[in-house]
Amino acid sequence: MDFDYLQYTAADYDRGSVLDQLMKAYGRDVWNFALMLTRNRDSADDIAQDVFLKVYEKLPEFRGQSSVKTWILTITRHAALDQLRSSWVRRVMLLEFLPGGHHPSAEKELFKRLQNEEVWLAVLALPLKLREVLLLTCHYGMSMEETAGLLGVAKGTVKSRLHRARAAMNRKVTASEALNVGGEWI
Amino acid sequence: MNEWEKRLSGSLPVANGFTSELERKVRERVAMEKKKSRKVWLRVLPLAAAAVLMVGLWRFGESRQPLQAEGIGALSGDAFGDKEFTLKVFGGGSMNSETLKRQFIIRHPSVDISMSGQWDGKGRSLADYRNALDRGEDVLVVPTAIYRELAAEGRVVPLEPYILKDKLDLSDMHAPVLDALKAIGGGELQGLAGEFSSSALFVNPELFAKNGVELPREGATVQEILDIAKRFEGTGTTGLVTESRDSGNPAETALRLGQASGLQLYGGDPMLQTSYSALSGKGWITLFDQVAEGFREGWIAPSPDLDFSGRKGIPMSEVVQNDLFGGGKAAMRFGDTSFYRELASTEAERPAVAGNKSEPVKRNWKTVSYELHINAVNASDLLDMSQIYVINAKSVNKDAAWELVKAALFLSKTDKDADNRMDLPVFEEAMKTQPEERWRAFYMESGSKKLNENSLPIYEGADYLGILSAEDGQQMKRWAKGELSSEDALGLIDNVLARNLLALEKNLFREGIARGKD
Repeated sequence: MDFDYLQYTAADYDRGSVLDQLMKAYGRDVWNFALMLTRNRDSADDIAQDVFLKVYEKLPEFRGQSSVKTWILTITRHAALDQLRSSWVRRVMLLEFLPGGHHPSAEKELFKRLQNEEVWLAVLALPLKLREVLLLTCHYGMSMEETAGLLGVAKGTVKSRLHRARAAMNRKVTASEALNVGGEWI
Repeated sequence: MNEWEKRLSGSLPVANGFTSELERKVRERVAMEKKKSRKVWLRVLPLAAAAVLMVGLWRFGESRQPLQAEGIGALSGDAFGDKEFTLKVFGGGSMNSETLKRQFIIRHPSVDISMSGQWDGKGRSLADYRNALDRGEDVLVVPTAIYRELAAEGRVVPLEPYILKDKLDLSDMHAPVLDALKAIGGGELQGLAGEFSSSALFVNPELFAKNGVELPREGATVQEILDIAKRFEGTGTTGLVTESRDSGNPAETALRLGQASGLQLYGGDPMLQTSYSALSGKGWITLFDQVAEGFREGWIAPSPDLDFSGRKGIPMSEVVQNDLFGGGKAAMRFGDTSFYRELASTEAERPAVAGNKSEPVKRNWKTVSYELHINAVNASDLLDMSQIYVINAKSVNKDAAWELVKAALFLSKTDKDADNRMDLPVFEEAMKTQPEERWRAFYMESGSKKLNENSLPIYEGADYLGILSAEDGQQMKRWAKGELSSEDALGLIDNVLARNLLALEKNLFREGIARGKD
């Protein structure tokens, strides 16, 4: 769905209706991005809610500074970083992301599935800065400029991080491993 | 591009975590945020707020909202927050009433809900429902035939204006139910139901494969099903097990199959006092002959009677296992949504009750839709709603009543607990956690065709016409054994039917329902 019209709407439009449409269109992207950044399903749930609450609040201020998708993913990233900065999360959650480590049952299932997909597991194992730039460009299909705008860094920085991320992925995922993927998806 | 980059550009290999539950939570949080600011806003500019809302509604008048959290008032805030009153609900079942009450009160804490007249094993008469309306009960939960009457009397409120006002999108609701509610409501939607029942053909694919018989096609005719059943003759597997058990009346199966295949049981309309028995003719005789042959040759058979042996009750698992189909001894069985529930529920792990634990049984089964002739069949076989929510035209709390109706509908969409349901939810979405091949037939057009004027439910009709199966049982057993001809058997049933139709018409007149001769 094209949401370009949002930048032209008057302040009296039905925000609830627009929120519904945005949740339908980008709910999955937001949740996935939050999951890949935090590596935690519960956090992704919380972040996705916070993001759309924020989207609802900020809708009247949106004037097409970027695409709606970029705008929403920017909010998602900020929410995820806030979540990761929480000392509780740092202490409890991040350490739990170790394949084969201790995870709550839902996480276990999630990582079991991801382990069947070496590529995605490799992405999850990247440092956050490399992970986010790789996801935004390779998965969400953003340009260097859009990614730079979303991350608030220079285009050159994006290029450099992307180069490092690609190199790391090439090391982690050998050709044979990359082809040897499968398993049922949840 | 590397292979891994290609994979990365595809979908993340996890299910969509942004569930409808998360969407609902977002809406609730939005509603709470709005509520916080609403008090100040309303104090300052109440009329301006209303104007903004009206403009918003006008601008987006064509965009309908799905039935989700905002459908029960979440986004619009608690419209009843400033008032305290009790919403009175009469009728319906008790299984999910507490959940419904809780869900409603969470959103509208100032509204209390009083529920009465819920199903307690005794039938409610039309007079009971009329009295409830007179007493000023706000919402009534009624079966299909009562709905027809109350709608015809103009005592309940048309719901389409409310649906339009809320821009409610019901496109994902089982369309035949909406159509039927409209048709039975005299062309107007005057009630909504969260559940429905219909019938389907249950088949055991394992037994079909074992005996080298091809499964019936979707939308199979009664004749095709009988032909398939006959192929199980002499295999040790019953082709078609009847719904009535050994002590039941075998002719009941023939009557049901006859109607499904387009033979009429009666003509005219008891509501108009113009009914007459139509149980004669070559078609009925041919069908009765064929069914009797099935009984004699064993490819049609009833399940054994339940053995209570001094016990007060029998666990559902035993009831199902004792059924020839449930026990894996019959290849096919006609059944409604309650049989689906029985089969499905006894396959699930259950906690022990009073020290008695029913072991779950895994069975091989699925359902297939079959052709039902719309003009001949009893409406309730085709499609039935046992709990239709209507709003009293005299209610002084119509808006709140509407919110409750929506909440009930929403509950059927979100409540994943099968035990809370008597029938199947009108939203297929709620069935997605169950194997689709088992429930799909109930949602197919051929399994629940649209009702029309000729198949409208008759108030108390089932009581009177159902008696057919109770009478002449012994004589009908002789028919099934070949000791009584089909013509004679049909003659006996014809007498009972004519008598029952007369009694039905008299009762409809006494109740003030019949609209024909004085």
